Amino acid sequence: MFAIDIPTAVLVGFTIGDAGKKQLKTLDKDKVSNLRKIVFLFNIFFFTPVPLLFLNAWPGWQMNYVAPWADNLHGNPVRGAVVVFFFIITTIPAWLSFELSNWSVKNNKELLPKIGWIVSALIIILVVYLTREETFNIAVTYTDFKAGNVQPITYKPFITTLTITTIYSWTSLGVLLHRLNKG
Amino acid sequence: MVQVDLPAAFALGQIFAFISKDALKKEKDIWTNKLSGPVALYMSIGFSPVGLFFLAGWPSWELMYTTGWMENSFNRPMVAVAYIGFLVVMVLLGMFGFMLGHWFYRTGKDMLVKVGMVLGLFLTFLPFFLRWGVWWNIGTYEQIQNGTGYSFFESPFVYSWLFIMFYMVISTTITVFYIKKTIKSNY
Repeated sequence: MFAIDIPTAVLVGFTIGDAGKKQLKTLDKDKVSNLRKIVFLFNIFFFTPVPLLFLNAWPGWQMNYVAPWADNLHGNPVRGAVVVFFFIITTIPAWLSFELSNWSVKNNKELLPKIGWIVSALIIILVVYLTREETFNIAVTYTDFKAGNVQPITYKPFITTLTITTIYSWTSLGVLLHRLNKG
Repeated sequence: MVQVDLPAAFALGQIFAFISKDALKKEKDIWTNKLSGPVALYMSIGFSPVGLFFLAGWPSWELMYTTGWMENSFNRPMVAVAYIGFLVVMVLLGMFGFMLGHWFYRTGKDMLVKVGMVLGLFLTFLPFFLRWGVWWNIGTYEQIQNGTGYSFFESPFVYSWLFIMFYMVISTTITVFYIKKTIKSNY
């Protein structure tokens, strides 16, 4: 959902920055640049595809039922641009939080990345709690939601897609962090 | 267009390798070389969004009207996965083209980069000849089958096309200059 995508992207950048502290501390340009590349590629392959998938399949839900225009994503350049915009706004926050981690490690504020991802995680939990009505009631479009045409979160194919994408993203992040921690 | 964008991604990867020839010959590691970062960034937020933009806005046009399957992605996760798959494959092919070029240079097979570039460009332009003129008609799959739809030069398509092409040209130019600058200051 849109409301948690940006804090999740921020969390990704901070966790990679935190796990890659050893590399950042070396101040070696190549190592930092390589880690930056990892942030981008991880986002493109493992994180950004998820909100994009939901935007295409369940646009109303993905937009927290606040955007009627998302009901029709085709035949209109503005809506096409929104898809691209979505793609970019889920990549840029991860990059920025990674750069902040890099800056903090350089300036002996090593706790900052850890605080950053913990705060991001708390924000995600808070947003899910505050928007629980929208999060756990699934409608394909904004119009369906307003008309009360909703399904529980367990309905197929929604729950299957959500389970697969959640495992895909978070397992990949876990593997990446594990590898970075090992140095 | 999907049929054009995928080989174009590979060709671009090879072209980036070609313009970085001397630097790549000095770079030992294919995975961690300094130039693969800007190439990955360009493929991710410079090139791929262009295809994604058209696929989201005019899915059947982007598929050269070979199918109308991608027009409705609502409640159809497999169609949505195909959108994402297209995006990811474009980035992968671009990176593959660049890394393959690097490997060719590292192993002294310089000529193969030129072959890869030409082959990539040939495959990029081939669909235009195979489905000549199909891009001038804008509409859904059904509209095009019925001979309706509207012209390429009509609003909103033409303005969208100009805008996104401008974006691609600018991002490509910036990437080329950045690569050249990185080469100059690091090798």
